Amino acid sequence: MKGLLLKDAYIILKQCRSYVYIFIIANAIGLAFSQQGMFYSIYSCLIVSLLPTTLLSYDERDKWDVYAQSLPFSKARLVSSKYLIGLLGCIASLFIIVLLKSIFQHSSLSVYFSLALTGSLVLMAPAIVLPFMFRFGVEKGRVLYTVLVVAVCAAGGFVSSALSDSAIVAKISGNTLIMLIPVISLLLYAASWLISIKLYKSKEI
Amino acid sequence: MNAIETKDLCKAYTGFKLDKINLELPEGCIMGLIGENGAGKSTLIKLILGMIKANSGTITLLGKENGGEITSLKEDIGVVLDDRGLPSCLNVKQIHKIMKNSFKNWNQPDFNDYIDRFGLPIDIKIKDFSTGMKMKLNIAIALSHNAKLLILDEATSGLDPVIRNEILNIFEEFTRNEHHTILISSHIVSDLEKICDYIAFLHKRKLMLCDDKDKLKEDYVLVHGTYDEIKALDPSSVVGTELNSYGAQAVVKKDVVPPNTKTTPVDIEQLFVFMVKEDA
Repeated sequence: MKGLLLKDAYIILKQCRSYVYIFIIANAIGLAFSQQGMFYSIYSCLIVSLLPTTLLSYDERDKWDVYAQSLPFSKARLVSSKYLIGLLGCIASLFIIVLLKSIFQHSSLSVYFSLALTGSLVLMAPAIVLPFMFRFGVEKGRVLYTVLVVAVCAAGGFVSSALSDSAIVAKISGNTLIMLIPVISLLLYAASWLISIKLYKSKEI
Repeated sequence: MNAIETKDLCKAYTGFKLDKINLELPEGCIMGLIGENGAGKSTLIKLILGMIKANSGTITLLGKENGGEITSLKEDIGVVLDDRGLPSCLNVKQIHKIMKNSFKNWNQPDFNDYIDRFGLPIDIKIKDFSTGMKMKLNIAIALSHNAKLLILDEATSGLDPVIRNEILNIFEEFTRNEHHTILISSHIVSDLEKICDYIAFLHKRKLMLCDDKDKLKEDYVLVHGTYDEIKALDPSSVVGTELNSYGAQAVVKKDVVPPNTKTTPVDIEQLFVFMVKEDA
């Protein structure tokens, strides 16, 4: 695993500098506009959480995905390294954002709280897209991801309007729902990781 | 012990079927895998490495039957693939660190020796390497983790004759240890003829022949004569025939050639070409 993480770290340092620039610019804007700042902070965190998809596209271009299977790594380990990078990237970017906000904005505790909660939501993006990419490859995975997002949004809109008067929804306060977000995100991320391992094991490159 | 053994190995895709491959490669030997493009060489290598799953049949690698992933066994196998596969934006120094953290038995002095011997620059990105340089780097990796078995898919293609000769000598050196084995595929048959103990012919996804190289060269001869003389040979002993403006020639089993027939020794390339022609 250490070899795989090192390889991805080198590629991030060499090829993904644009991510660093986007992260800096987005957070600079976020710090400059305290009211709208949250959107830019979360956006920069989302970009970092999608690093594994970029790494997968480099792997595919260089045929590393084939070569790696001749090295002493199990398919589960190949998948896990990408999920670990996504998770660590997300945590690190959230940590940096919180640090920046505490230094430059002296934000209230509720800002950090909502930042951590909504920040954890960004994990859902790689959780949805990665299994498709591991199963169908980067290009097909991206197409399917777009289709899935449209389908989920349409289904979400339909369900939400259907349940708008439901007694169950009324019983759950907004705060309870928001408290569940990190748990749901992490569970979804873990489920996605296990699904990706299963899909990648059955895939023949 | 056989380093590689396959029994009735089958793999089918739409429009492609690798059919009942039975191979035995004894430890300490070099086997050359010869076949035209699309014959199934790379598929067979991927099956042996457990990168794809067989539909039926068994594979035994270094004494262990391969029923799924063979992660721990890969510590003992050095691989060079046709596609290379190293990250193009990295340099030799970085590749070295990655491999050092990937193989338990990584041998740093060996790797440094090969890099020096092959004259590879350590600070230049792999994408700026020539095809031959990329191949040499992959070979250096395969040889630097104390592997017992090398599996090489077209490992000498893209190399100039001088470095090819040097690399073939390195492969021969590798098998001086009686526990070291090589399976190598190539379309440069002369390379395989030079170093291999065993030759396997794959044609149209079928294993046509797998035998000791010297025995093959002893068992077959190239017969020269007129069209009528060649036609008069026992068809069951003829591997393949060729008509040209000077007459005709055929590769034939030596023991049934009539006396006073004009013959010359056959090389492995001729044997393969005539065999494939006959089957076409």
